[in-house]
Order: sequence, then C-alpha cells, then structure tokens
Amino acid sequence: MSPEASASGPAYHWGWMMPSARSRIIEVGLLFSVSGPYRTIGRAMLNGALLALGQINDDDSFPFRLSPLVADPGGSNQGYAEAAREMLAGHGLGHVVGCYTSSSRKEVLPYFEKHDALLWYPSHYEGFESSENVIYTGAAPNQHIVPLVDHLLERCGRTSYLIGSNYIWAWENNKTMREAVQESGGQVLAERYLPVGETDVEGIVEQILTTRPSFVFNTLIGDSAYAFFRTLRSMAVARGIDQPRAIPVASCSLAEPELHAIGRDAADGHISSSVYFASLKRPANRQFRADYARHFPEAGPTSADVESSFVAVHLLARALRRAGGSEMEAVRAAVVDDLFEAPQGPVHIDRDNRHCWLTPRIGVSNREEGFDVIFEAEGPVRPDPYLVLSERRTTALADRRPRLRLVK
Amino acid sequence: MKGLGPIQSFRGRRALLLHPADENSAVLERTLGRLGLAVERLEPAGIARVPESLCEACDVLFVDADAGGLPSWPAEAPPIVAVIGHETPSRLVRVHEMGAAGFVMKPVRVQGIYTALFIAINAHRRLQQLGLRIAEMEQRHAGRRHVVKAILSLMEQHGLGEDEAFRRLRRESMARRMTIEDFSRQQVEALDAATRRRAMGG
Repeated sequence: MSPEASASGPAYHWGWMMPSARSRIIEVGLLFSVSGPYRTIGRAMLNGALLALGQINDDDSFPFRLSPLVADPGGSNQGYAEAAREMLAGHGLGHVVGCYTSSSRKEVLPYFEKHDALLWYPSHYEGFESSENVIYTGAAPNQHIVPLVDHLLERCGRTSYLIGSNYIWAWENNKTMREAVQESGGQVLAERYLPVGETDVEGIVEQILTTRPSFVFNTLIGDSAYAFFRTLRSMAVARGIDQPRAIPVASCSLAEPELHAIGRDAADGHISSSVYFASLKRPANRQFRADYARHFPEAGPTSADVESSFVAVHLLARALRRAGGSEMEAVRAAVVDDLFEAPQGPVHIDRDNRHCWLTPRIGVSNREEGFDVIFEAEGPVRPDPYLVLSERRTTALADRRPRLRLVK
Repeated sequence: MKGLGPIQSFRGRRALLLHPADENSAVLERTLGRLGLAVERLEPAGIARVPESLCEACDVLFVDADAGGLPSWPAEAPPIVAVIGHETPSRLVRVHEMGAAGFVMKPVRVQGIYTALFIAINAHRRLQQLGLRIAEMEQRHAGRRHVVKAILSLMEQHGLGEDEAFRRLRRESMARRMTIEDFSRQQVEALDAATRRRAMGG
C-alpha cells in the first residue's frame, strides 16, 4: 500500500471553534493525516495541537482566540498540496501546524514561500533543511540519531542490520548509522527497504534471525513497523530466541501509541531515542498527561508526537501575542529565544536555524506500553540540522554533543 | 580542441526524463520543448535498466534524484542533470555517483532549466575532451620509454649528442607522418629483433 493509494481522495474535515467573548479570532491551519498508513501518528499530533489550542483559548492572557481549520491529507502528497493551497490561497491563513514525513513538508513548502506563511513543523526529521518559512519543533538529527548511534555502539555491539521504509527519513538515518558503524570497525550486515505501508516482512525477519546482528536499526514507519515488530517477536519466540536481549531493535521514532498498535505480545524491550517519553517525572508532564487523558480519553498515552505539536501551538500562540499580530516576519522574530516550559522540560527556538532546543533521551519499552528512560542529556541541546556542530567522535567538538547520563 | 565555444542552442537535440509524471516533469517537458528539444519520459520505477538504444539516442538525461529505486543505465551515458528535492547527504552522494554534470531543484521552475542544460551539456563535453586528452597523454607517457631508448641507441651507434639524436628522431618521424613515440617504438622493436637474430646466430 502506498500513501497515494491509501487516500480515498483528499478528505477534508473542516471545523471551526465556537465564537468567543474575546473578539479577535486568528485562524490556524492544522494539517495532519488521521487516515492513511501513518494515521496513528497523525492522530496523536492533531490531538496535541487541539489540546494546546484549547488551553490558549481558555487563557485570558492571550488577547485573541485561535480557530482551527483542520484538513486530513490521508498521507498522500497530493492531498497535502491541495490542503495547503486551500488553507493559504483559499483562506489566507498565515500559520499552519502540520506535516509528518519530509516528502509532505517538501510538497507544501512552495505554497508557504509563495504566500509568505509559516509552517510549524512538529515532527522529528532527518535534518538538512532550514527554510525561512518553517519553525521546526521536532528533534533534529543531533537530538535523535546521534545519541542513539553512540548508545548502540557502546552497549549493544558493532554488527547491525538496517531496515527502513523507502524514503528520505530512512535513507538519511541509515547513512548516518552506516558511517558510524563502519567508523567504529563494525559491520552493516544488510540495508533493506520496504515501500511505505508494506507489511510482508517474513523474508527480512528470517534473514535477521539467521544472520544474528548485535542490533537492528529500524526506520520503518506506521503499519510496516508494527508488522515488523510483531513478526520478529513471534518468529524469535518460535525458535527460542530472547529477541530483546539477543537482537534488540532500535528506532528514532518509536512512540507510546505505536506500542499499543504493535500489541502487547511484541511491544516490550525496544530501544527508542526521543526527546519525550510519557513516563518523564516532571510536574509539567504530569499536568500534560492529565489534561490529555481528560480531553482524549480514548487516545491512550501521550507521546513525542503529541508533545511536539502541543509545543508548536503554544510557541505559535506566544509568538502571536509577542508580535501583536500574525504577520509572518514579526511572528518569526518573536518566537526566537522564547523559553517555554514544555512537558519534556524547557524548550526554545534557536535564533540561527529556527529548530528547537530539546532534551535527548533513550528509553526501552516495557509491557505496560510505556518506556523506561535509561539515559538522558543534562539539559536542552542546541539543534544542529546539518550535523556540523556535533561531528561524531570529534574530540574538539565533544563538549557540543549531547552528553547522556545514566538515569538509573 | 582550441577555439571550440560552448554549445548554446539545443534545437533538435533529444532529452530523456527518468522521472515520474508529476508537476516537476510537466514543467521540464514544457520548457525543454520550448528550447527545441524532443522530450521522452520514462517511469523510473517501471524498469531495471534504461535500454542502450534509448540512452544512445538521447543527448541529455534528466534523473529524479529522489526516486526510491532507479534503473541502471549504460556507462557511456549522455550528460546527466539531477532533479533534486531532498538536499541531504544520502541523495547528494547518489547525485555525485551518477556523475551528474548539472542539477535543477524541486519544485522545478521554468527559470534555471536552460542554465542546467547549458552547463551540463558543456561541462560534459569539456570532461570528454579532457578524457581524450588524458588518454593521449597516457599513450605518449607510455611511449616515453621507447623515445629514450631510441635516443640512446642513436647516440651510441652514430656518436651523436643527445640534442642532435632527438632532432634526428623528430625529423624522421615527421617525414613518416608518425608521432615521435610511435616511430621510436618501431625503431626500438626493429633493433631488438636484429639483436635477437644475432644472438641466435641467424
């Protein structure tokens, strides 16, 4: 199943909030695929944005209300392009929170450039971009793959098996992983790609169980990833292999709602690098979890995707307030250096590259569909989308790299 | 080789697009058409290898650098223009490995296509000329050994100075319309054969 095939035409669910006492209404676009191959993540991101939006609208310190214009592109690039055009050209919006895959972001970028609008992009991604029309609130590569590479090579071993969905997220992360493994004297046993949505993974699992790498690096997304985790676990169990210990699987994107999608039998023992885990013991996170459960009782636990779109909407609203209007350049200037106490800890947008200072962590999934955090950086790490500040194994720059400390 | 200005008109040339049908390929087809090229498009996902005949028949190849899977094409490929969406290391390594001589960024705009075409075709031609020149130099370099031998034997047999021996060699080779390297090799080989015959008592 390709993203294009899964979309039953661009399905729009336009929705407006109730009118309010505060007279000024600012319309904000929310562009998330709640159908299609990565609907689980799209839903989590939309929920996070809506939760933040409700909090802004309940808070009298904001002299305006945000009104969401919601569209579901169904995971199809064509759908993203059409929705972005409709939001920017049709409705004249200045700010849209959304997109998940890099191809969806690339697809809509020309419209944002043409209409002088800002995209608030809440997903971790592979980096190598710093568009004037984007505020990036998800993790940059030095905040997800770099700490994970170090962890795997130090703790798991040096032979790796790379498997991913056939698009830029996987290609780029696998390149970083491959270079690090080879630099460390290790070996990449194989590098395999599946089309987005493909769930026939038995052949690959068979090869993994035969070649026995010291870890699998997974960049599959959505349904493909869930099928892979389930098949790997069941085929390992059938052969008496303790998979989490013998052949751990590490990902830069695995989150709590996905553990539920994988299912209880195969959800535990997976390594994930993320700036947010629901299990973080911070007051802001306790509040965040409680609010999320109250607003979306059916949605399950919070996750990095929920948090980053929640952070995006809060940063957007605060910048709108500081700028005194929604004009793009004023808002872009206003968001820089605004310190926000996010559920993961303090975050702010970097002045130079408009990515977010975030706190890298490494977790291992448990049977309760959550993650035990085993490492975390001492504080927010400067985003480095081009990996120029955080060269791996360069001692001169070592102090700029996230230092992870043992949590327990 | 000298005095060859760059190719500036591409009328009557043929472009092959290895690119899925989308807005980008549409802009390419339209614009290349206006520049006078005949354009053909091939779906990169559909085939394992670009047929030799198709590759030979085209003057420039536009390749989608983002495509998940790309077919291979013959080594003797025409100039390649990469169509780049993701400006990331893994994609750029691929662009480099395909030997792209030019590029256009996505979303493809009319502006920039003529420049990419101009630079790619002329850079490719310059590379080919350099390649020919290197091959020629290598051949000469390999022949150097024979020239030295020929000079030495002339000095020895005719009691000539080094400069005089070289001048004689050059004069003789020019009279025969041969390169000095080829002529020297011929002389050295003849001399060697004669030496061998004598040694065998022939």
